[in-house]
Amino acid sequence: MALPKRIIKETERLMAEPVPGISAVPHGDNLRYFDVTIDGPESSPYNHGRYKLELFLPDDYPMTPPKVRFMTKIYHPNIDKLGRICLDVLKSNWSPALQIRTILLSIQALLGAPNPDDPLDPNVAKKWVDDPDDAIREAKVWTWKFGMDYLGFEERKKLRSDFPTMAKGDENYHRAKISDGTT
Amino acid sequence: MSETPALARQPLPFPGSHLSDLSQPYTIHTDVEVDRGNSPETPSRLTSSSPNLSDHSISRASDLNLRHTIDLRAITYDGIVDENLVCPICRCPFIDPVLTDCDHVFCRACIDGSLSHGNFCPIDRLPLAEDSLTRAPKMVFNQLDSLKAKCPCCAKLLPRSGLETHLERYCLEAHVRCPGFLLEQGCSEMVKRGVSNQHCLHYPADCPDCSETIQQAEMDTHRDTFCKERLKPCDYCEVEILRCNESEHVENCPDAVQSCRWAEYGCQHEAKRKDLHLHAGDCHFKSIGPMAGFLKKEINSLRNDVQNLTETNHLQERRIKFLESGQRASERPMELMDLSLANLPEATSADSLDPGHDYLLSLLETQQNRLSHLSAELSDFQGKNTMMLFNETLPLKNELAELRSTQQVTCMHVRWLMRFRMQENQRRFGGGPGPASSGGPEGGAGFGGEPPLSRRLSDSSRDVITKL
Ligand SMILES: [Zn+2]
Ligand SMILES: [Zn+2]
Ligand SMILES: [Zn+2]
Ligand SMILES: [Zn+2]
Ligand SMILES: [Zn+2]
Ligand SMILES: [Zn+2]
Ligand SMILES: [Zn+2]
Repeated sequence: MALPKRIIKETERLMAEPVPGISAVPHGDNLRYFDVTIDGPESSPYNHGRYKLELFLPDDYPMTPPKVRFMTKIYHPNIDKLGRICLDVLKSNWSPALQIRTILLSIQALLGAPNPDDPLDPNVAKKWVDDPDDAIREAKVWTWKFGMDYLGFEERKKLRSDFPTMAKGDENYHRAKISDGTT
Repeated sequence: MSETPALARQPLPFPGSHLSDLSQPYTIHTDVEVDRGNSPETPSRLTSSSPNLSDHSISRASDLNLRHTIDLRAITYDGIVDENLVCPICRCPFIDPVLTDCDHVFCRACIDGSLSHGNFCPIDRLPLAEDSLTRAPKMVFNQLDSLKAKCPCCAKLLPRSGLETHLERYCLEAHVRCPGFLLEQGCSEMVKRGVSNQHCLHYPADCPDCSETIQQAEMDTHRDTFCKERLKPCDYCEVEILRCNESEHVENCPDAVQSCRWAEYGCQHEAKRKDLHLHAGDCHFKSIGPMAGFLKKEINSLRNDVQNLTETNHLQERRIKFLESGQRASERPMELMDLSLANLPEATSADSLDPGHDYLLSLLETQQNRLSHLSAELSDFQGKNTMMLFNETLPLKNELAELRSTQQVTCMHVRWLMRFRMQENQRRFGGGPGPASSGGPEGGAGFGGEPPLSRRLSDSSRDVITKL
């Protein structure tokens, strides 16, 4: 199936004028499949984190929305363990006039403004409502653990003091720890 | 109006950079012919210069024309197309544009596709019924018709409305039927219009060299590169060889120039292959070469060993830390969370290592001994060769330094260009004359609700969840 001109144009533009803090690179063998990274917004607990996502354009794109998923673990009320994202424009509020770059910008905005009222991970959302400070601390810990592989050892060390350490009592402590120990 | 910078149309720096070639912009219909060309512009050249066709009338010549359909979304337009003429759905200049009640314009095919997924306008989400669509104003059609586009065959710029006629009747690079179509045998091949004044070359002919039977049209290519019988003298030894075997012959030709077998380690001697053995005895590298080769192998295998060990070590380290964190988390939960290696020495000297770890440690020790043994050997050899290598590498070092400075200059240029681009972006981000609510990068596209999109807060039912 030939690649529609629109996808070619969007790709060309993404490469030529990348959105700051966002990169999207198509696979050489499947130009409908993109490797995406999104940098956490500055004023969020995801600051300094760089998140990997995969984005796939279905055959009837742009009539149906692109499929997007986080590949990097993230502590966020609207993103679940499998990386699925709860975002209206990716589902019922999709419009064919939207583009890959607008979608990625929306996801970046979602990192800056979590919405626990419309949760995907109920536990995270409950924490976000009951104890926002602790939730943000937890999100920072996850950012440190999973979102900063792209930095060198020295760069990480410099940022260490910006991040809290995870306490043993945390409900996610073992989950995070085990997944780390087996990699 | 957002103008796309020139860079956007340059080749892409990634494996799919052939993107633009992916869609064939036109189709040829061999079963349908174009109506007799009664246009006065029909080139008479076709008939007058072709002896084959001299007894046919001008209208017969136009029988060679073939019907072309152009995909107007796949062709290349000249310069930057006015954003107001670009469909927000397919991002191409409108094709058969229609107007909605809410004053938005789309290609008919695009909005039809969108309506089959939901009855709302893709831009403002107002309810939209298919029967409320009206043809776009005549003015829009006129503007679209006069857009200049590149002919997919000869790359000439033409108004897009005239492209089809150009391909079907005039373009010299477009395909027409072979002139033989009009003759008795009725050749069904296609040729470019520019060469359609020649005779039909689509008949089998025998190659004068190998007497293989091939189409006359492909004879030249065959004789130059494929013919199994056509000889040429070798550039080096002047022996007659087959054209198609030339590259193989040169690899073994006794007269071809080859470099010394120790060239890899610095010998710059070159000689004809058959004379190379004379040099072998005199080569300054003959004693060092084998040694260097052996050392290279050794170093590589050591490097592999070290890498394997580092990996194993790393794995063990993590496991140890993981186990310890289970035992002693209550004592010092903070440090253990850190992924850094800072607390590794402490971890390895811990008293509670099980036999497995002991074994691994002893393994590490043995490997360390082996390593130090080998490194002693190495430094011995290095002492002997340092002077020689120094002489050899000096020019290389100079070259490297030069390359580095060139690279730095290039870096500076790139950074300067990047900054320029970022400023450009910022200027457009900030000052795009987008409508009402939009100040985003897509401002010029006339889409009001763009980035970052607000999330719908109300409906929180689980069906909103994106499933993949
Ligand atoms: Zn509308
Ligand atoms: Zn369209
Ligand atoms: Zn042409
Ligand atoms: Zn022919
Ligand atoms: Zn031949
Ligand atoms: Zn030869
Ligand atoms: Zn030599």
